[in-house]
Amino acid sequence: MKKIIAWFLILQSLSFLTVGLYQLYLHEAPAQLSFSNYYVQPSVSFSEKNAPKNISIPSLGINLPIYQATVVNHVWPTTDLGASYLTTSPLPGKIGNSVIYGHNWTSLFGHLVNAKVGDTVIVTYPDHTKKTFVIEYTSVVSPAESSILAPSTDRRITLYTCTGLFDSKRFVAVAILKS
Amino acid sequence: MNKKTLSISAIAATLYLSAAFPVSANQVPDFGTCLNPQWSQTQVNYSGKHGVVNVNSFNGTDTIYESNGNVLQCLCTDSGAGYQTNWLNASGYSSSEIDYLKAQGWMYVADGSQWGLQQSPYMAKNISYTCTSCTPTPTPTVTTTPTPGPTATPTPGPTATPTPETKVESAAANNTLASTGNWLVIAIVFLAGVSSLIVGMVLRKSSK
Repeated sequence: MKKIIAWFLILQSLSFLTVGLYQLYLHEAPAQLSFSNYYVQPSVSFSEKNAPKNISIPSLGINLPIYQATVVNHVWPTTDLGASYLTTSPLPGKIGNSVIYGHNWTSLFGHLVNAKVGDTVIVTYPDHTKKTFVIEYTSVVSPAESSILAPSTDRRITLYTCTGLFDSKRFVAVAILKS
Repeated sequence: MNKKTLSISAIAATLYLSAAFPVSANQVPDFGTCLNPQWSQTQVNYSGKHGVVNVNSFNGTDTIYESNGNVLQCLCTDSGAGYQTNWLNASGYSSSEIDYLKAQGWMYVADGSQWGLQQSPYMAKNISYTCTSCTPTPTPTVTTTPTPGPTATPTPGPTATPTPETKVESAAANNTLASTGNWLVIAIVFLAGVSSLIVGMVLRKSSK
């Protein structure tokens, strides 16, 4: 009996270690947080000086610095320090679909999955001007659903993070400019 | 392995693959998402009851988009629950293709006209989302692009009664294990693995 339990524990440890290694891979994988088939369009309005600096969602306790991210060769840069603003999308508050994403860690966008329609999102610029958005939609989509990042005719920000088993899905919140 | 065995294996593999994957990914169009629809909007109905195939009827705003005979229905109910229904026109699909799509979670609707669509078979798939419920406005904007049928808003017909089985991909159901990739989770998993290994090895030694 002891022998059976011993072998069970050894096999269990192997599965734990395999899952651990896979999670470690997910943590470092460049594909994490990416969307496939995303056609990158150069942003006209972006310059380092006017890039957004901070994002907060008070109802979720999210308050993070924003770092600029540019997709090169299908690699989506991520940061452990805050949220990433896709520089090839319009500046938040301008006409179009601004894209901001972050890891699903509790210190970053981990609580984004609790976002509710009506929650306020505030984006702050270097000159301390603030743009206030209100979440109008939330959904879980597959990484292949890149139309979520397609240009729009309104002034919106699309926030997303990973969700689902082994980060296989993307949780998306779309907020529209209010002021 | 001789030539005969190789040939038989190749034929078997081809037959198996053609049976298992009769509809290639290219044949199912990209419907997109109701969060940022990319197809042509053909109709908006700001009020009234609107049917969601195999779910129920709800009051809310129903927006219809179309592309090549396929229809994207975005229903934002008054309670803020959103239902996206992808309507794939299945008039040219074989029974094996339909069976394959059914296995992929699509529902077969024999006659689309009962749902305000064309009089042809459709495959339908529901996806849930949340949305801001709109206040009905007196003058809805309706574009003049071709509408899917005589009554453009998919509403359940006399035979399309809701069934107890609800086929909606839930957003909430996917929110489990959202913290993958987190250092804390990685550390816990490794710790559990190493502890298990140590206890297992000790037990194995003592059982000898």
